[in-house]
Amino acid sequence: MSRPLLEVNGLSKHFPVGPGGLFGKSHKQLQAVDGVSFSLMPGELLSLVGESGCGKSTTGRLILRLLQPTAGSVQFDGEDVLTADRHRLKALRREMQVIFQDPYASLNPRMRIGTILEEPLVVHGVSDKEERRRRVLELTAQVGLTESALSRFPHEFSGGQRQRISIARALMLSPRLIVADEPVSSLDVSIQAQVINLVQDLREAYGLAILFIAHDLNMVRHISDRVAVMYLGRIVELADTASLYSSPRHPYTRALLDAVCVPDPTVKRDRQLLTGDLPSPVDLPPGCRFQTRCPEVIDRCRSVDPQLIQVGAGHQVACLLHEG
Amino acid sequence: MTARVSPARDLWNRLRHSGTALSAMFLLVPLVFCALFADLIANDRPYTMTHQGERYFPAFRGMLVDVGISQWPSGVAGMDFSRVPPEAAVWPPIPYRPSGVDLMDPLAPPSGSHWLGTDNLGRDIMAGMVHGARISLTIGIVAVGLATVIGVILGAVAGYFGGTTDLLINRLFEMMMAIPTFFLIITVSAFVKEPSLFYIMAVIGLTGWVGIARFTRNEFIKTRAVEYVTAAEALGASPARIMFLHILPNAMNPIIVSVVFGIAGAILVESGLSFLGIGVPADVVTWGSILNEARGNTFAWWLAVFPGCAIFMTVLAYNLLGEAMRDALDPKLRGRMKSG
Repeated sequence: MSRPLLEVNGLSKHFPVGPGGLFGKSHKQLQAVDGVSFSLMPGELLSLVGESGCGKSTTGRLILRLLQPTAGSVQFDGEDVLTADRHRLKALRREMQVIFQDPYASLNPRMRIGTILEEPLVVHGVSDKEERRRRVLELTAQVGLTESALSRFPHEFSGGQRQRISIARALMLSPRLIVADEPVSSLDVSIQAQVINLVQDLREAYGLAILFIAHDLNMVRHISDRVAVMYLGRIVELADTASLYSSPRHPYTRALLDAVCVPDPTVKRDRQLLTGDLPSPVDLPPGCRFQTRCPEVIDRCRSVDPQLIQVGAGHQVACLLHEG
Repeated sequence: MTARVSPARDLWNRLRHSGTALSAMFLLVPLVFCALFADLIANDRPYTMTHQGERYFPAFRGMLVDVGISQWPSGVAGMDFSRVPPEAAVWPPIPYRPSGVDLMDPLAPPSGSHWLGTDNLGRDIMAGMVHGARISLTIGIVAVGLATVIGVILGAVAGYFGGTTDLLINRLFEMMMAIPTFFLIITVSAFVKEPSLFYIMAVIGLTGWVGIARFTRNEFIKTRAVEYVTAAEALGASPARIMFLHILPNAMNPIIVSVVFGIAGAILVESGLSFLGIGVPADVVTWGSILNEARGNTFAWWLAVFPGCAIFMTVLAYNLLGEAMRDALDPKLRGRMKSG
């Protein structure tokens, strides 16, 4: 088996919160991401799902070193991303790119599309103007835009078109990894499919590995090789897509799948919907983070913090019910 | 699809329909005209003259000689143009230069030959007013230009990097604000041997950047977190590139507005300094220095009224323009920005 393209180990990000003292030091910590580990093979699509605020976007940004992690390591193709110097980091940025959720905020409103698309090449020293132009036109065509788009400003495009521009920008340097941070969450459903299909096509064409951050389990099922479910800064279950959807192990995953809409009103389902509130990520209870909302909570959950364990081929879960 | 309108075009369209902007323009256009063509409006050298059968253009030639790229032709070198017979020459509307002393005609009230009168050395006030417009505008623009460069760079660095850098630069802002600019300038003037206009511009510029820096910092903090900035970081763009290519163009609006207000402020400071006789060389006539002469000659009302009106109108015009631009660029800023 080949080497993973991306290896994330014990990645944590704790934000200081609350009023600081005289010298701005705060003692309370918000655990946005806490000990996240996973790996991604070349060309693989791993989805990271979870509810708002569970740390999935933060994880994406930590991997790209857009945020500085508190602890843990990120290896890209065997190279440590977090300790890379300025020079190495720039080289690494060629290989890993990002697509953001909000297509209205991710394009500079004062720049023409041509300039936006050309920028990755300029930054990475492609000095030949003709070559840049050729590459820009090539990708514009691949994402289904015409040459006339290049002289326009972002506000002249729809959300779907803007997202395709973002995708073209991310692919400009032929990266090997894309972190897609909820790339379709803010688009109309009809446009979502279009953009997803485009991502799939490009993934095949370029052999891209994608870390797909999302909260729509229906869509994730169709595109992912593997799925990781996050809850309050931790991965609680990580499995092949088929395995996760057919036999979810963690109570949280089951609840998420129960909450998924089925577009058929005649289907009667025996659903178990979550009650209770998320504990504050600043003041976590001892033991399992999911204990406050878990329908199957047992006494041990209040004292023992479950770790990810192997429960089947490529299926990991962090739940005391599955231990031993 | 919406029509393609560049931000500059959009601003122009909105200013065109604003009464405030139009009144500012009504005041500024003649002022800028005077400043640009001062040498052709008020000059003690004729536009053209014949002398010993040769045709000369002393007013134009004089401009070239003054900047050092030409020399007087030998026929008129060292010549006193006031002795040229009237029929042999075509004169500018105001045939005096601001520093042209005429001790035979001091403190003359406004008349046909001296439209706005003369001062105690017989210098023509109208000529001084026209050339003073140039000095005022130059000082306003150069001083604020310098302040803008300093303010934008410091504000950008503080806002973009944040943390300790921000903390240190903010303390610098507070130190600058704690010192009254005007008295700082007066103090610094005491150490300068050779007064000159460039020095005044430098001092006003070096002390007047705090407001611009603070606005820049605020805008940078706001824009730094937007995703297109993060996207540029993810591309590996350098901090300088991100600051000045990505954030600054989107942070321009409040900066432009505070620059316009800053020009009004700088003109006022310069007038105040010349009024006190600080910093401006004695042979340079500015609006403030004319005003200063009115102190010793209280009966000569023309020495106070005309430069006073000019300063008032200019400052008013820039404040109106700043207000109009603020409203056109970002109505939300209303009330957040003070003039002067």
